[in-house]
Amino acid sequence: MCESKRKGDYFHSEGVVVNFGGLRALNNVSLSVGENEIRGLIGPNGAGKSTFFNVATGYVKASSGGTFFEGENISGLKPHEVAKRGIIRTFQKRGILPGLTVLENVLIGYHRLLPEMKLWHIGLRLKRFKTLEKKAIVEALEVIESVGLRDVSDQLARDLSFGQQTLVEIGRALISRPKLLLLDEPAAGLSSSEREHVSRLLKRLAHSHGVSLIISDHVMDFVMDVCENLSVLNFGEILAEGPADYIRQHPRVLEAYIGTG
Amino acid sequence: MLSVKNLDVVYDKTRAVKDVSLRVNRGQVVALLGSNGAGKTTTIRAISGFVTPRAGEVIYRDQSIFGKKSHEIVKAGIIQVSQERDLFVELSVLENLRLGALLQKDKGKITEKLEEIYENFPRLKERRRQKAGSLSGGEQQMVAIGRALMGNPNLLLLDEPTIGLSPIFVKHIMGLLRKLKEGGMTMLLVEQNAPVAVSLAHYFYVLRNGEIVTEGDTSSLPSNINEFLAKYYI
Repeated sequence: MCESKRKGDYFHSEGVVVNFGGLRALNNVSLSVGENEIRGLIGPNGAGKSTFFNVATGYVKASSGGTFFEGENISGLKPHEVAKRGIIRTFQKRGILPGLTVLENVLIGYHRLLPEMKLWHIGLRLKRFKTLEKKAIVEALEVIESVGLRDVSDQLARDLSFGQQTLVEIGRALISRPKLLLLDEPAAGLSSSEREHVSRLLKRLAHSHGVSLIISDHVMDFVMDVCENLSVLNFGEILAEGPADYIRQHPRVLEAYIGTG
Repeated sequence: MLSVKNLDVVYDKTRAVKDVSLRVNRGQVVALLGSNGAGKTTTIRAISGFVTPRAGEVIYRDQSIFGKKSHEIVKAGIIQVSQERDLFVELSVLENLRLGALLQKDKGKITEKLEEIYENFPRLKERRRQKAGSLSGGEQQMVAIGRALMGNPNLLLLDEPTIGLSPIFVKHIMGLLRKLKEGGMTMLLVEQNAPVAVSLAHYFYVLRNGEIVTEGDTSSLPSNINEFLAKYYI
């Protein structure tokens, strides 16, 4: 294991095991992410990356082991309870609503920040509701600008390219002001200029806005550029951890990616 | 036998394959290597007509097959074994194999071919009446390759034939491919496990982000293949 730059445990998992029937998808996975850190989670197909995201965000219950955030044990919490604590994720299969516009899709992410409101506040469009709605739209447009979708903010999501849909999903995650953001294959389907844009955006998020990130991706140039440290999963186990240069030369990582004779 | 020039495939607005050129000579085994998402499967799907390329040339036996439908390409002698295997799970092993010989009218030749496949994969003979869906992954891969061979291909396209298989089945499948190679079968092999592919192939291409980044004779590769290929994978 490489002695990589550590910023203290902000989020961590301890000995997480996930069994799907007879298959062990994660085996004793312990992973720590510091505050403002951008961590890459890489590994070949079926290594357990998405399963780890599912455990961290409450979609899958670990068979044993636990997850902790800001000192609190969050194991076993439901996805919305995890989100409430500021852990927000995106999905590989883009969970956006195709019949809504870009702006409407991003606004959905604002839900986490809304104060409790009665239905009649909304139905009667009371002043309190209108003020809040205006504020949400202003913030959503700022986020849309930051992800580079200003020109298509009123287009239906279904009319966008896969790459643009990815940006919508990232925008929707950002508007909820995450503390820890888990991105599942954010670079898939992006053009090289979109990739560069997202890369700059994510670095800015971590370094200027104090967000921690875990990024899982197969686009190596992207993930190696954005992430300070990488954890490599293979067959559900952590194979190696460290900065890009260390990971690139690690013999077991090479075996996992390129194969063995 | 096959010459691909400046092939471009675009999904949505993303160029999945960029300006790819490659050649497969008669009797040659060519490996297409690269990590996940590099464009390997898209390249062979463009050759076999499952995706329509945006630009480029695909010449097979001096005829352009660019943009032709997949059944026309099969008729021309190019047969693909896809990664998903695409078996008819409710049909028996024998029925699946026979489907591969749909274009063959001579019953004698079909029987002869079946015997040849059973000889290579005795396990399929034992299980010929069993539903394909009830077989293990390795056995299903045998059926998929067997079905392709029933079509008497001139060029066999193989998409990750060993993916997800146990070491014993990898050995079986690679053994058969080696036998086919010795018999002069022309093959374009997509494989993530580079050392396995290189051990079989005469020539290799490495794809990264949809582009060919290096190529050469497999005999020119250094003994530590992983060290050599690392920069193209991660």
